[in-house]
Amino acid sequence: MDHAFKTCGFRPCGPRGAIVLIGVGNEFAGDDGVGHYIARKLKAKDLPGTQVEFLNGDLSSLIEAWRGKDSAIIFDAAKSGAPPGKIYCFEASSQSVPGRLFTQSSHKLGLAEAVELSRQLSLLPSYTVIYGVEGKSFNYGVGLSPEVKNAALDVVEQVTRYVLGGEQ
Amino acid sequence: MNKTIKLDYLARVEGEGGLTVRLKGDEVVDARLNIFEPPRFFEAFLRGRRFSEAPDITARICGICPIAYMMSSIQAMETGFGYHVDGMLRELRRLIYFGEWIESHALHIYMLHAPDFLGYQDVIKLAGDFPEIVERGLKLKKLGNDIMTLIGGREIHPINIRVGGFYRVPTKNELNSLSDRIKWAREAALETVRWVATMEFPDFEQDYEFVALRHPEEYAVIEGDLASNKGLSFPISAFEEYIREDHVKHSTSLQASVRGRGAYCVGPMARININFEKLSALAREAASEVKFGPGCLNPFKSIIARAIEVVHACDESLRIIEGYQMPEMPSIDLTPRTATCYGCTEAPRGICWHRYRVDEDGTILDARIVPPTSQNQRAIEDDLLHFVRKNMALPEDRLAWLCEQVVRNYDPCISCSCHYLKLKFERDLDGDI
Repeated sequence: MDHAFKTCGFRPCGPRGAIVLIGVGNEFAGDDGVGHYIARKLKAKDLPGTQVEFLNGDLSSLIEAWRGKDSAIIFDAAKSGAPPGKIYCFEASSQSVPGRLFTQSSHKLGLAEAVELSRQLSLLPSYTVIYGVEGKSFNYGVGLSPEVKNAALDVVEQVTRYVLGGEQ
Repeated sequence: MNKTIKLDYLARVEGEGGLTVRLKGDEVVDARLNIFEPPRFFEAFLRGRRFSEAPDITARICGICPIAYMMSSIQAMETGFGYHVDGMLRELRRLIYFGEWIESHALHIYMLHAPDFLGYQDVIKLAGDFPEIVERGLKLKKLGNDIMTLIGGREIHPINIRVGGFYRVPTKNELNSLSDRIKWAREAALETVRWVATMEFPDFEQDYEFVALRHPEEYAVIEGDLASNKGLSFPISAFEEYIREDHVKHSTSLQASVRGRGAYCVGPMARININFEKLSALAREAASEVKFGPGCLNPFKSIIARAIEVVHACDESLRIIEGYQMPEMPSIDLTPRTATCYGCTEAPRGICWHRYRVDEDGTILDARIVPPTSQNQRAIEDDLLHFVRKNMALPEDRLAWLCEQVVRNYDPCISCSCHYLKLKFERDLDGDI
């Protein structure tokens, strides 16, 4: 696995309390659907203590999704110019989110703003991790680019291990 | 010597465009919105498509106000083919439209506009000092989202709306599940009115021509004729006789104007000025309490107008839910015919006008769509010109801050037609431009 996952702030220890897994994006816009893809794969695994949400990135819906949860793991497409499939991983509960990585509209307010606003309002779960998978094509249509799909499956594997507490 | 001062103060309103204020000595000679948003070709996409596809295609023009585009295109097709959808289906349309108003207005009032008035860079900073107020705004916005999701299937680009009605209609119990939250929202909206009315408003008025839909029985949202505060009154089918659009060199967005008269203003200020007496009693009381009503010509007070419309939207939503009886059929069947079809509804930021030519098979031959923000562009430029003229003595950073507010007074929809990014003052110190 040759990407940023190993150096991210993700703490591979067992689950704590209620975990919400949130896929963000638009699955009808190519690789923008990677967040939903990962969330769908995780939902199929029916991991204990988890709730899975599929969101489009709207600020208030994001905040409602993680309100009251102990942990949140969020998956979204990144658009930074890095090679497709590169995985970014941030522990948002301890560092600010680099909003430039994610598709955003200042009118709509997106993921980075939702995290920072939640932090101000003390609504951010004590353990919040954001995964960004660099996309290749954001054109209309369903389906992920091969390198994005491979990266997504790596994320699914890692998160599964994390939730099951298998990676100590 | 020429001097250009660039100010990137419009950080909360990104996009592909800019604002230039040109000064000659101490005189402001020009204010322009430089829109270089690429053309989006939606009208071309519609050619050759079935009439029934228009709502779903036009919804993609905007993620904030898709209902406005869907409802305008639906109204166009139905009236063009000789149908009028009434009863509970019409009420459901109004309800989902109010959901969009609540969502969009709460977003703008709390997240985008309030920080301007209170001196915060953004809502995140505002939340640091006023967490309860920002939470209230978030809850209001979420309620708007949830009304849209319940009726439309999802909050952005709803999938349950069609020409003729809906694919599925909610049960009475499903709608009732929202009642308690809407009652809370109505109280929160009243608090919002009181809160925004305490803000400090620059002393600035313009002699606007306000244009809005007008309906004999209701605060017009999903249908009506067009009217202005300066005597215009015409059916939506006559829009092109009264309104023209021009291409200007500095904008890829067409600029609309009243033929022979010039700039006009659409949106909450226009609606309240033209239709005040049709607001719900509670909304009128709220306006009266803060001494706001028709005749207000201060664009900065548009934040009050939006708040009053949230009260109205909540009030009407409750009334609709209380009287709701689930329709037997979710939609009516339509047979297309050769027609020129007109639709116009009140998007959160003003009238959204559509015209389609459809052949006997229901194929769209051509389309024209005039979004609200392109109609407000000239009014925004006029406001900027006169506002800067009046406030030249202010320090430049303060003036730039206020100029941003001037733009945001209109809640410009960057997804629809206009993007703003940079405010640029071009100052010619020698008097030459």
